[in-house]
Amino acid sequence: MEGTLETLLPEGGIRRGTAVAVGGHGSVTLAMALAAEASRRGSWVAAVGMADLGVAALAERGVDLEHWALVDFPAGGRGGWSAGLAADVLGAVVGGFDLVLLGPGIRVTGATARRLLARMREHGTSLIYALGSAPVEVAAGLVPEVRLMIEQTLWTGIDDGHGRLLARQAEVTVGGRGAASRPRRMLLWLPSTDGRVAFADPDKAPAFGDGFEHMKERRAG
Amino acid sequence: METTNSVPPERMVVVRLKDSNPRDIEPVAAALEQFTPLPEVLRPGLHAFGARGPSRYFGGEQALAELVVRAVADALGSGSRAGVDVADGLFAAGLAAEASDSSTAVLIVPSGQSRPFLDGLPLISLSDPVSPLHSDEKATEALLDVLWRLGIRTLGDLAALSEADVLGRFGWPGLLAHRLAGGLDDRPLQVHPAADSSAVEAEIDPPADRIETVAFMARALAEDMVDRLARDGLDCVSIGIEAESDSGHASRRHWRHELRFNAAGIVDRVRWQLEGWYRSPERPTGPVTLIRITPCVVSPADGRQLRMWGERSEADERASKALARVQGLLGAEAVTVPRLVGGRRPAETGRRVPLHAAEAGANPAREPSTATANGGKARKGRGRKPSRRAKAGKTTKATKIEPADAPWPGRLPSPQPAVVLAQPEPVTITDSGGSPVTVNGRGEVSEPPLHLTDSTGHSQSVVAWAGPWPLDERWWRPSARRRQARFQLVLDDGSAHLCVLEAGRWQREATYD
Repeated sequence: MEGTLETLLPEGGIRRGTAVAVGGHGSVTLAMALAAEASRRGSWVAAVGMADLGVAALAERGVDLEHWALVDFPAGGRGGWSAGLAADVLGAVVGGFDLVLLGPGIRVTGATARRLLARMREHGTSLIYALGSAPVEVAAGLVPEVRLMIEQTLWTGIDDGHGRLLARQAEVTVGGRGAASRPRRMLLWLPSTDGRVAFADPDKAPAFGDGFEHMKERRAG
Repeated sequence: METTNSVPPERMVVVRLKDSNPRDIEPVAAALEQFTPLPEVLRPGLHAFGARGPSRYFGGEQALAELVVRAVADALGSGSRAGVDVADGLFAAGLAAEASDSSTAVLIVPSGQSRPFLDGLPLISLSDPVSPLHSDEKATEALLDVLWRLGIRTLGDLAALSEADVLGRFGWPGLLAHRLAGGLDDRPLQVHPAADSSAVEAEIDPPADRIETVAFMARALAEDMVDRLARDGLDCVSIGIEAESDSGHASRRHWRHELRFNAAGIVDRVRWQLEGWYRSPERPTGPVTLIRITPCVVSPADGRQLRMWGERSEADERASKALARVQGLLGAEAVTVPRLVGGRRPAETGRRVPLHAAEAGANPAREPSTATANGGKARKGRGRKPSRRAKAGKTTKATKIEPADAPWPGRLPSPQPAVVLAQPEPVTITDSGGSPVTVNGRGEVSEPPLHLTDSTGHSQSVVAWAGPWPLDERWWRPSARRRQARFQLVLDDGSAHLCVLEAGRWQREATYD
């Protein structure tokens, strides 16, 4: 796993048979980066219920596209994930894949979640719950070992009608159970200007809040 | 590093001119004939020969290289600049020559010391003309691109990876790159002249006084020759080209290819040689009457025979079965695989290809024999996601998809959006006066965008924006024509979006989540 992500996860990686929850703006990019290394090492990754996943971005994160499958309801059937069907689909995927990315549209709770967890442990399959803007409680049923919550983000390279999106800084809170029970805060490039996910130096990075203040002021005035 | 094949490559002298001009081929090759019976030309400005014999005769490699520098300078006159270098194999020696001609004219990389020399060189050195990866530009670019994204910046970074990993991931081109980076240039110096019968020649009647006429005839000869060698399973790595004129002059040169010649490559060499010949002091005074091409061959050693890949692993089988089960639950279309294709819109650059289509060999945008951005094709069969039960999908009409490596000038810059909406969302974007933001015919924005209201009626401020980037696509076909202006917008919650104005309507196409 890339050095940065290794440090981000308290045990240096996603423990087999466990879940990690990722939330906030930038959670899809972070989930992709976490999954990229697994796919590059030949592990099969399935993204379930992520119909809007950007394929070009996947490639940019260094994902091995040949070891990646996308599972969605056929077009027109979106929103039709009944709990029972979702459980059957996830059960099948967990039995065949090393890592599963799960979109926020699929809710797994109660007995379904417990059965899924047992199956994940049985097959050594890990799961990344990409929550996006959904509250972290959504993932509670899968008792995530680690929660990576992106608290705030700042894009650089873009201004008032100039430049373009170049790089993003993200402040991530790492929390969870066991080794992750003491929350930590980290500043990440998500991605950096050279397209990687890396630690940002808090001393050199522009502080949050400063970023677009001048622009807001100019507009207010 | 494995012990097989780790015999160090033969010592090579490479002469690399700062300027590559066909005019210089003849004088430099003639000058090198004082040192070796068989100087070879790789391309204009790049010459090579084996160092072992000559260095013994001329008092060591350093002395030899210095003599060569002087001889080349004499041949070309003042103002010419050449790097002359000796190292293990063509790759290291060629890169040494590239490195040396800026500061000092001579660089000797001692035997067995390629690795420390190569370690610090940038990854892009693998596409240098002395590299066997040079000839397949697209595949090499794709390979380097993926390596770069994996954080590999130098040849040393690449050499530090395990050979098995590189082979498994990138197939033969990756293995070749890895061995080169590790100082193992497997290309043989000694090649064998092919059987006499494989030489080809043509009398040119009426004699040709234009290079293009000779090149045209050479093409037919070259195609015939390469075809016949290929049928015998032989690669042509070096050729002799002879041309005779009706004035009694003749030109004979030996050319080496960085990998193996195809017909077009041979025609290039014929053209270069004739251009050089016609500008040399020994230039013919009459038209060309005869052209002869003599191949030197080796058996191909490109790893295809290793059979180290091709078997499906247990993990592949497991994933395949799981997807078949999912298709049973949700329908065949529910399972797709991501593939890169050409295009300008985010939804076009990345495609979801139905699993069954990918499996049926309709995998778009890929040529079966090249390494690709995701390193796929050299590993035949592996990486595909075969599910035997997905037969239902084979009736699906294959859509024509443009190749991923075609140039797309209007393509979005990196980073690419992580979320691309399957269904773009209609939004409203307004200026400080509350009016919809528009773009005029000259691509100028009416007023800066200040608010974005999404399809649920939720409104947010725009804190930063860039654009408009015009996209006037397929203007040559009115029915398919699309004119768009694209914007990147950052909202006050820190989220960033790609919004598009088309025919007066705003849509959110993607989010940089």
